[in-house]
Amino acid sequence: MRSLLVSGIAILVAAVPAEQLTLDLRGDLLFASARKLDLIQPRLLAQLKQGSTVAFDFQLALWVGDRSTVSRRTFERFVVSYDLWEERFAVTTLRKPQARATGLAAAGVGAWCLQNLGLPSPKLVPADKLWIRLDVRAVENRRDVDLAAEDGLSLTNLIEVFSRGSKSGESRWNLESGPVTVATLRAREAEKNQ
Amino acid sequence: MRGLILSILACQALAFASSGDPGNAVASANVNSRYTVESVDVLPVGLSRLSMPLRDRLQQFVGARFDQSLVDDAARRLRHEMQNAPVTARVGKGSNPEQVVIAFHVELRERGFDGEVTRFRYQSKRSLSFGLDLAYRTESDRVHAGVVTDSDDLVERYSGLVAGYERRLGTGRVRIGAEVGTWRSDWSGNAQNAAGRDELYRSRTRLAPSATIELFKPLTLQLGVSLERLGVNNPAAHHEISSAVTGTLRFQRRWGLNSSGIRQRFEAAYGVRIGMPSLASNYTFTRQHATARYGLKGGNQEILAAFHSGLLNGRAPLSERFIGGNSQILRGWNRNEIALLGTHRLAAASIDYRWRHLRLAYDAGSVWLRRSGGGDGQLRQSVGVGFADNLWSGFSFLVAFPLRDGRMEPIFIAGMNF
Repeated sequence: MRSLLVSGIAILVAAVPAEQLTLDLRGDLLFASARKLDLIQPRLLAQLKQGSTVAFDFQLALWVGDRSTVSRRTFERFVVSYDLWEERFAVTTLRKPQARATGLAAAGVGAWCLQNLGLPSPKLVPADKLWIRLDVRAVENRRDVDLAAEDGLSLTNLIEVFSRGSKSGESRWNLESGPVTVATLRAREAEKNQ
Repeated sequence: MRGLILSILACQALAFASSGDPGNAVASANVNSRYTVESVDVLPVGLSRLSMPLRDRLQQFVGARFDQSLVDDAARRLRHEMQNAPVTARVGKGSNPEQVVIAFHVELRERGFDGEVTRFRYQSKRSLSFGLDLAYRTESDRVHAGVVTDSDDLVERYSGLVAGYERRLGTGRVRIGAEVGTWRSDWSGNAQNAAGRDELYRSRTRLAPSATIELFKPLTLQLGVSLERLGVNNPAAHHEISSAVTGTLRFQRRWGLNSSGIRQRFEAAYGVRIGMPSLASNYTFTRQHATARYGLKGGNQEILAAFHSGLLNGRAPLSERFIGGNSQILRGWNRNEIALLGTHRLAAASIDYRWRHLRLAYDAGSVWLRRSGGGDGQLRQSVGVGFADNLWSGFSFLVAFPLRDGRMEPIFIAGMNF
């Protein structure tokens, strides 16, 4: 009976959706961290191991009070490459001054990107409730096909152009969190600073 | 969804603002740019099959730092040289530390069907011309068949079927093949009135075996025989034979297919057809035709200059004659006015300029017969204005006017590749 009860509780705990993102306040900036953000999927890994780069577009959006209007939004493009000799990943931002990291493991790529994606905090009171949403999109290499190719209009090119969308299988991630109060965030910040 | 679109737009703007060129910015962020390139290869074709400029460019990578933007540019050039076959650049570890090797993989379409719109053109005085060709290709063979109806190239409108076979020999520098076509000829009332009864034919059927030799990468020589049977209205015979030996020297070259944005292209051809009684021909003639086209494209602007010249001696069927007042030569002039039944001599040039989608054209030239009776040899000029997306190929339209005293009737041309 007791084991049945324990099992039941365990199932209930597993069924409760865990927060996908954790929000932190550092000074005037809000940062998100993810329990799990595996950007380096097998298909992208194959592309990276061939020496190509893969860019990821990150967008972090914040709602305050309710979810009717986005209060703040921030964007960044991170470029990931794979060091062929060290067999580790490198990430860099495009915005100047550029932030750059090398020697990362695959699992550390998403975390590093989030650490470098600060969202300027609006004026908040302790009772404000916050929601946050992260959208990530992999920007993969496009194959250049001129519709009016210089050798003339080819049916093969037309088929390639019109079927490109279904072939590409674009990689996206969407994570959400909230509501969490500002008071909770400040308590967390104070705890970390002690 | 709206957020994601905003995000994409913002990131594109961000990438552009950081470097001016998002592609280069992404390429320069590659951690492998600190390594030296040990070797470059193109698989499975090898470097030897590439043109000299591209081969030189690829070999310059060796010993230099890996630069992804240059590799991407080389992959684009390679794709152009390989008839738009997909090209992937793969970078791997070299045999020594701190060195990398680059391999371009060309996905040769060894087998497959392809289709091409060979012509699609409307001219207000000559109506519609259209051609479609379907091909099946293996690594060394190509079979094709198509339909065509055209009132632009020859004196008459011809409509019919074309089929052919071609095979690559050895390393691919030599191709042999044969093409067969059968066309019905439709003559305008004016042409029927102007021509002698024995000059017009109802149909043409042609068999043309040939061999094409790649002398060096941009220069090819095609040699062959053209065996043509004309269905005539002559009471003495139902058909006549027009057979000729043929030769065409063709040069094609492109420059600057890179991110600098300036592209140049040059094509020139010289062809000769010699009608010989020894090939059981009822006609004896020599036809020479030379063409050249030069294109320059950069940013929103493009220039295309073209030149045509021709010389026809002897007794030849009307299909061998040169045409003015069509969509390529002396655009704006009415063909019926300047050479209703074609001419024996041709000298014409044109220049087209495009800014964004605005197209301006100028033509000058002359067409004339050996003897008087049509095509007086005077210099004619015309101007045109229209829309174009791409002067060398692609769709465009043009309204062209002859430059002369008196009434100027505009001619409207629309379609591809003119």
